[in-house]
Amino acid sequence: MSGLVEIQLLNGIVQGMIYALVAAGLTLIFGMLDIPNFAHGAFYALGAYVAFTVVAATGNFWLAIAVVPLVVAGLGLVVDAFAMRRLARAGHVYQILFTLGLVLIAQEAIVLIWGANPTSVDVPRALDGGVPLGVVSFPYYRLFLVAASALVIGAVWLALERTKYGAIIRAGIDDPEMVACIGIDVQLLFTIVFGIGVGLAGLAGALILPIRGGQPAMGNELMATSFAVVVIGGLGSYLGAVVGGIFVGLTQAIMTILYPAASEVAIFAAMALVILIRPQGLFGKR
Amino acid sequence: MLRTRELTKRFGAHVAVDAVDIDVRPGTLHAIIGPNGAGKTTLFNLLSGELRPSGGSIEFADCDVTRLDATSRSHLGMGRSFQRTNVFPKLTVFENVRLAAQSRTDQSFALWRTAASLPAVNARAEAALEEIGLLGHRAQLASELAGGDQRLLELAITLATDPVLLLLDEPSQGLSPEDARRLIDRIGALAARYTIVLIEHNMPLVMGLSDEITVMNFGRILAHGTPAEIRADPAVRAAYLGKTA
Amino acid sequence: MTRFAVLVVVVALAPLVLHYPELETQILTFGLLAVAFNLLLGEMGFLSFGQATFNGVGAYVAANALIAAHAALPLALLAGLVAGGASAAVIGALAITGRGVYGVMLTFAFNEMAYYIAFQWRDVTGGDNGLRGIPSPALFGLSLDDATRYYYFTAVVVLLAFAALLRIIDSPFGAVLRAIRENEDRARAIGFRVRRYKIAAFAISGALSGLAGGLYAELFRFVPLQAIDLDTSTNVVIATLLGGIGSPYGPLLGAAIFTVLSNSLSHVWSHWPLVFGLIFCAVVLFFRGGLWGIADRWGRRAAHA
Repeated sequence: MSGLVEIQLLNGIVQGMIYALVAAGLTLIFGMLDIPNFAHGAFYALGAYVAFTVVAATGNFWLAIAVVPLVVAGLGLVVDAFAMRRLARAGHVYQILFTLGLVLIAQEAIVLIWGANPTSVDVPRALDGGVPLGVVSFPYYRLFLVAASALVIGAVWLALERTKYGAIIRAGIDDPEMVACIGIDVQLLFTIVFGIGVGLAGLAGALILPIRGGQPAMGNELMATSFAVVVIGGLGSYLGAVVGGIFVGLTQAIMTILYPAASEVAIFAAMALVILIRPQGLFGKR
Repeated sequence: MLRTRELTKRFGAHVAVDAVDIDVRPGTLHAIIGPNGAGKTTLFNLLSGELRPSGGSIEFADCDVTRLDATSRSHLGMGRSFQRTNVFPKLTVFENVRLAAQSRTDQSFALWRTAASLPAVNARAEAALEEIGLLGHRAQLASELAGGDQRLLELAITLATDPVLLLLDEPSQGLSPEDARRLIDRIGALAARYTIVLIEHNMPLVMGLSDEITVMNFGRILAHGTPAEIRADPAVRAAYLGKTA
Repeated sequence: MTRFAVLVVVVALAPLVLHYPELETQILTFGLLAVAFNLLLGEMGFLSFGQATFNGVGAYVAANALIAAHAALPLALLAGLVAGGASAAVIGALAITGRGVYGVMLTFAFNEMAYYIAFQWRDVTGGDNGLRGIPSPALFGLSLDDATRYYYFTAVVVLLAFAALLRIIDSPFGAVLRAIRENEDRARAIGFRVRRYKIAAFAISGALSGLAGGLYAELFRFVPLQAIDLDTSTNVVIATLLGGIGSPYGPLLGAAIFTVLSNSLSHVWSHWPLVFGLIFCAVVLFFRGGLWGIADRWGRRAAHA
């Protein structure tokens, strides 16, 4: 064995962790807050570009990873507080349409600020090199990406499952009025969850930057795939989003080996199959 | 007319409706009452077809409907109302009722006719509005009606589907006492023409109206009889009247 | 009726006033796509985020009928119409399994799937080079290989389709769609098999979108990959909302304005989508009736005064 197949599978897991991060954020917003955020991919793209700027200014990628989620989450707070709440009463369709407008603005703003050409940053020097695998080697940075994503996904999961606020978020979804009676500002809490959700997408964008670089349309390409992830995993299921993300990443990698022409279509075919056989998704309830 | 045998609905370990036998005789107004949490609404949803029973059977006009969905039951002549006002808000009062009448025709897939000019449908819709006393509001949007009138419209929609049996789920819920009284009077008038199953929390309202009453508590039937018998029943007094009165 | 008469006059006179018949033909085909889209959104209350799927399927089928089967133009357009309707019925049936937003997501994801299929299936679609070699349009021996002539041919087809759609909106079937929009559960409770109506609406909307795709393919004798991509779906949504979803005329107006602006503004300032996005967000927040809604309100106020 030359190690090429193994590399492909490992790359599938890397891509899968990115999907998992994005879909975990999407499921917080979509599944738990019930806000259809079609601009999730735009927050991912912004994450990559903000990271690019931080690296360009300071040369410090670690700083970028720390700053990006905060900046993107901050943007999310503004969007939720100013628009999503106001539109909640008008209905989902108008929330979708508003986020669609955001996609237009974000994409063009990126071109305006950073240019239409792809950007990239170097892998941080501490993570140069890789683990030898046959004739090739697997970069340390990708291992770091997997570990960092897993850590963040796990931390958010713990916060949801084990903390008072996590319990309130889950209760608030079932019965917002009841939670309001306890004397907690549910709206504020939900806005923060929205921020965390898009913050995860921003982080994913920053993490992928040294591997794939950034281009203005990167968010759009990701959007349809992450919808497929969420449908496969089960809308509203955090675990489903994570498992679905890794599943889709691996499926793409395996198809790239077997039959590259169908690597994208296979994901959506899997999604259609899930809808037919198990409409609630692999980990969805009901 | 409507008969249930051993009708049961479980939600996990909780038995919401427990082996309920009910017989609704043709032409009667049969009230099902009970305190909150007695299983009335679950029973209602089983009867209307919104929920699938965990066990037992439902017969309607000598036909086993246990496995039929709500839409099919509607076509058999079981018309239902909803506990919360459930109309088509941004359509006019007349359109609301006309749609219900249209559902009884085979014209609903006709692409080349004009919905507003189906004479039989229009006549049926007008008759339903007349019967319920809303003809004067026909051009108004449903969402612009007062709360009590919306509940009447809800009833008119159900009537326009030409039901044999009316299933009414707490129609007075959330209405002012005057509106509730007005609505109950209408229902009383309808009782002459339809068989009615009325689920109601407000016991005094139904006492004067009902032919038969079934009292539920904890998912089971606590008592059954005429209003006078129910009023005199010590178990009912303990479980129900004692609490609310 | 009077509105329709005004529309006919405007469409008939447009090439005499503005001498860009290709652009005007594009307005018509895009307008038909937007109107078809709005049957689902405006009447039934379902946001289809994959309208380009049906447009693209129609365009590819019509184009291949013309190229490979040497079909007559009306027959090729009919094939596009049928294919668009069939694809929409299948995708619609899958997409309405889930409620509300879930369905929107599915139409979006299936659009991306259709795009990748078109991208890979070069024999049929030409991949990212686009499909070329479509013979020039002719109708019963009469050549339509002239921009103005083809404009009038398209105008007749689109106006007929639009009239049919107006008819459908006013039909008992259209009334059921509005019942579903207003209150799906109640519609079910009074005895409508909601699922069947939804799939039928998808099929009609897809058929008209497929027709629009076929007309578009013959316009430049070329089907670009963009005919089936998500950007086109997005543009349909934007143009329709801009024009107003409350009336079938709104999407036509929106399509006209969108097509003209995107053709002219992109020469003036290449970042015009930024401004457009801001305007769009403002429309969503403050003017949900769109331009047609605003014009309608003015018209009524003027009539009262």
